[in-house]
Amino acid sequence: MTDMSFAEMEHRQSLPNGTSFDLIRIKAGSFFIGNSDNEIQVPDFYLAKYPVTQALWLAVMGGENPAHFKGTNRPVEQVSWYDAAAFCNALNRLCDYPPRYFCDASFQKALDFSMTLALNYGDSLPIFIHPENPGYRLPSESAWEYAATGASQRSLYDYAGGNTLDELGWYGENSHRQTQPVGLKLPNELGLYDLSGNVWEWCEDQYQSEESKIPADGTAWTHGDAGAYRVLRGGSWPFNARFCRSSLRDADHPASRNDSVGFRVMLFPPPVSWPGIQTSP
Amino acid sequence: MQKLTVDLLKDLKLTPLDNVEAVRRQGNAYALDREGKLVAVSMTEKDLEELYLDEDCAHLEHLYLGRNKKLSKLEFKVALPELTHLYLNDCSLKALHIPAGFIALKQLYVQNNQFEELVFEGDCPELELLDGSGNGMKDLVMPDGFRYLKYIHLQKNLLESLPECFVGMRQLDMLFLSGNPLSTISQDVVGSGDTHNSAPDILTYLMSIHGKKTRYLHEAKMILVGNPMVGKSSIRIKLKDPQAPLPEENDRTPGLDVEPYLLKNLPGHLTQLDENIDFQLNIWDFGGQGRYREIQQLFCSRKSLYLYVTSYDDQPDNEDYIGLDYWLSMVNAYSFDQDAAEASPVIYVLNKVDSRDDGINETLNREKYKNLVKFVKISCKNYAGFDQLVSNLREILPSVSRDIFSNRFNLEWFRVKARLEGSNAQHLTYGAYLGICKDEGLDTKEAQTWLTVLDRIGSVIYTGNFVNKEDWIIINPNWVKDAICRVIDSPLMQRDGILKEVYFDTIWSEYPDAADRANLVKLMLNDKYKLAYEITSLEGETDYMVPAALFNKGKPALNRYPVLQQAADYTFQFCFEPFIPAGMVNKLLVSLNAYIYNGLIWGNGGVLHDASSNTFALVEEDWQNRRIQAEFRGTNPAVFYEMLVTTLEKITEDLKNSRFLHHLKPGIKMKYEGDFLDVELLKKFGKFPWEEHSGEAGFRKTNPNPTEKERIRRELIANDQLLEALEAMETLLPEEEYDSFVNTRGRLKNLDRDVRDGTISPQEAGLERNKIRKAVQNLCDTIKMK
Repeated sequence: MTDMSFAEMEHRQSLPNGTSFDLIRIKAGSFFIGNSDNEIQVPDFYLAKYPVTQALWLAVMGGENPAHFKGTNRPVEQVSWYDAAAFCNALNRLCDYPPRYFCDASFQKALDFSMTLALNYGDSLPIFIHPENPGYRLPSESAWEYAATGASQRSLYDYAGGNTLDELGWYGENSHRQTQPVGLKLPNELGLYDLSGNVWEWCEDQYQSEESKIPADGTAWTHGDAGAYRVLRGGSWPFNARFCRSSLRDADHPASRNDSVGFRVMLFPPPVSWPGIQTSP
Repeated sequence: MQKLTVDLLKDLKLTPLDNVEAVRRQGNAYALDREGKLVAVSMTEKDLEELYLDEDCAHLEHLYLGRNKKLSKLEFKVALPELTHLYLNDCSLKALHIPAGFIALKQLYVQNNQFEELVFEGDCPELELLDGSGNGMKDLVMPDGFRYLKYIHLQKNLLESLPECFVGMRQLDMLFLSGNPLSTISQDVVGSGDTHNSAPDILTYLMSIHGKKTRYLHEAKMILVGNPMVGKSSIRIKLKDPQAPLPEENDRTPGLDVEPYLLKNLPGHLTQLDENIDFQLNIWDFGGQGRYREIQQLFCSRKSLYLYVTSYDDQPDNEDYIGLDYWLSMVNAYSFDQDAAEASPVIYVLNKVDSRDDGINETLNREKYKNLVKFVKISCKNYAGFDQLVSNLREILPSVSRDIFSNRFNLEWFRVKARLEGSNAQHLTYGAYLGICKDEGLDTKEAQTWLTVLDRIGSVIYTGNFVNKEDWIIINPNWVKDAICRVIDSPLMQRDGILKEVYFDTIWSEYPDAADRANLVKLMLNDKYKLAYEITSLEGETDYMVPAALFNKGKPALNRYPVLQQAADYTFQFCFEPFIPAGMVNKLLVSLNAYIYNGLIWGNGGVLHDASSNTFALVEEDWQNRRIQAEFRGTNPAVFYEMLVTTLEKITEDLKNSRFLHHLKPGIKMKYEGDFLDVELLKKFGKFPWEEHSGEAGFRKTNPNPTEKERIRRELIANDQLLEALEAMETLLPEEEYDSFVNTRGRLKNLDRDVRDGTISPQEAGLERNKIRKAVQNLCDTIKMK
């Protein structure tokens, strides 16, 4: 057990337009990532309770719903890594945080959706990540796996929160070849839903094949070229169970838009105070 | 029959755990409450065959019995009032009754069993999710209630109707019904496609007929297909009026004509209705000329009866001749009913028998096309054979669609339809349509559902998304068809296929209104139709390229372009079965118009160029062989290939979903050592030149994700399944690595033997295994580099 109850660990982020979404506090700790002996120290952070839904995407980005499988409470998909990064910047703007993702090394030109929307598969755009700006971002793959495997309550389950995937997520055997509304299955021990299955989730890291190279401080590995693949985690609706294991790593081109890929946001560092934010009921 | 007891669970070696949540997480476990009663059971893949639950299980909160393949019988002797989740998926249950009193049940998974009926004996007031798909279920019995049911999966059953209580499910958010032979609800309301959510339209429809005055929609299409000059228009005219003069020889049908024809007094034994009825067939007379085929398919829809018309002088040397195979393949692809997996019925009509009667080889044709159900010889000249034709029409009408006689709609909705049909206008705005609906008592939701239905049955054309009130609804599809045919037929368009605004007065002289012209252009540009794309002229004006208008333009000499003279680096064929929808390459070029190289586009193809990788793709449609061929030249064909595949998949999917075109099966072949081989085969043997990336199954039969093969290998390595990992990479390794592969596999086998024989210490074995793992990892990397 942790020293915080679920209620204390959960916060609701309200947006100016009245929409809100829930976050779960993940306590700092260390773990061995995947099947490696690479021990990662993960700091305190918040992770969204659900993948970004179409309702949240529209509340933040406006415009057209990019998802193939329409439904306000379904995860947004057909968003590239760049789109997801632009979402984080837009969300930060709404929540009075500075941007995280930039197009220049001097951090003057923040990435926005009008730039990423024009990118097609194969296009690459150099992205500069501000190392210190607080706020919303894509999780590093180590933070993602740490949360998926129960963080400090580290579990030995195959999937996020258990061994019976039917209970935990939507995958090839039960999804009816489409995404499903978030939050219907059993959450993991920390109260995070849909980590296994439903949609692959973009992480901030660029892909490299060695687990041993994943940064030990819980940050994302971003030393690849501009077009290097970005990491995907969690498996998704068309895949069989083995792809939904918490330790499984996958990747795709950052401009790829696929109806089996979405994302969830992470908030780091945890705010000292939460002006205007109510604790979830 | 076994009783579910703690002892049984112990016998089955399930793990006792502390609480419900722990059981759910771990699986194959159970939990008891303080009184020793079962509160949670999770077991899977056991040899259970018959099971019952009695009062000893009354405290169950959670029951997971999924994937017990042998479980064929399950009985609830009592209600389980505390049960929230019940998983019975993927067993072999032959029947399932849920007694009254499951008052806490939130989620019920009973998919992929074998029961014919699912009976709820009482309300489940908390139920939010029901998955009953894949059961062959004929009956779903639900009493009133279920007010919180939000998500229902009933795909792949044999349901003909839905329980009355659906009308009260106001929370219903997702309802999937594909693969059911529904007859009391029109397929036009249900919609098409495995992932189509029918909930909004079905709810609106059910509420609109619940306790309201309704009427049957007795209307369908009769489509005349066949080559030019075989007398299709004559049949249309003579069916309507035996005395009417026949059209002049040169009076060809431009694209298509639509006319209503009434089959009167159909008896109850044909319709299964209490009274005799009149049924309206809207005759769609397709012009046989090849250049119209792309437009014709826009007007195909389900619930159609087809007449294939031919005559003694319908010969291969005629202009625009295409054989029976094309027409029947097209009909079959546009088949009405994916659920029944049956094609629409076709009547084979041999016309002009007054001049010559060559007879019909019924046996041969019927053998080839099972849906050729009737054969009739006629003469439009002397009206011979028409009695038999009409009699055949009456006879085969019931087999057009199982819901053809049973579709009912609200009377107010019909009044809207009548007002649209009675209007002299060619179109109206969505806002004006809402106004008519409001007048007739329809709310916005009902208006939207009715508009969806009218579009699906072909009464109107609507391409909007219920947002912009200025969007057009076309209430005379013929008017649009004529406008597009005029563009295609215009001599002004023949040279380069470019529609300029200065041509409008000539081509669209009968469409003087500037707003009409603007909207017609918008329609041609619409993503749903893909008939045109914008280009900017040298003068900076916006023009419109209409590829279909280039039907006469042959492939230009490409000798100005040395790169296109070189042998192709890779050649692919995108093959369509059973036929290639007309204009497929045009749609491809419209979709990828930003890549068209130097305006190189002609009647059945074009050249695409990706500037960033300096890669060319020459694409051509081989219509008779039902394929598009693409030749790639340049440095990075993989990305371009990906783009082509994705675009063709999207066009195919759009056609399948919007035009009920279910039987279109595309596949890809690649030229390899002189032969065109299935790319799946090439991939299997590691001969495909690059790894595929994103996208969904369609042309690609493999899993959609990019690094799947690599991921599998890495996962196997990570799981220490080194031998399996080696086997997975054997055919993919570069030749120079083969020795290393054999050596590594040998070391691994030796290690396994030594461990088994106990001739190596665990520590030594661990070290050796780590070394082998590293070697396997290195081999894996060589594949990636390759």
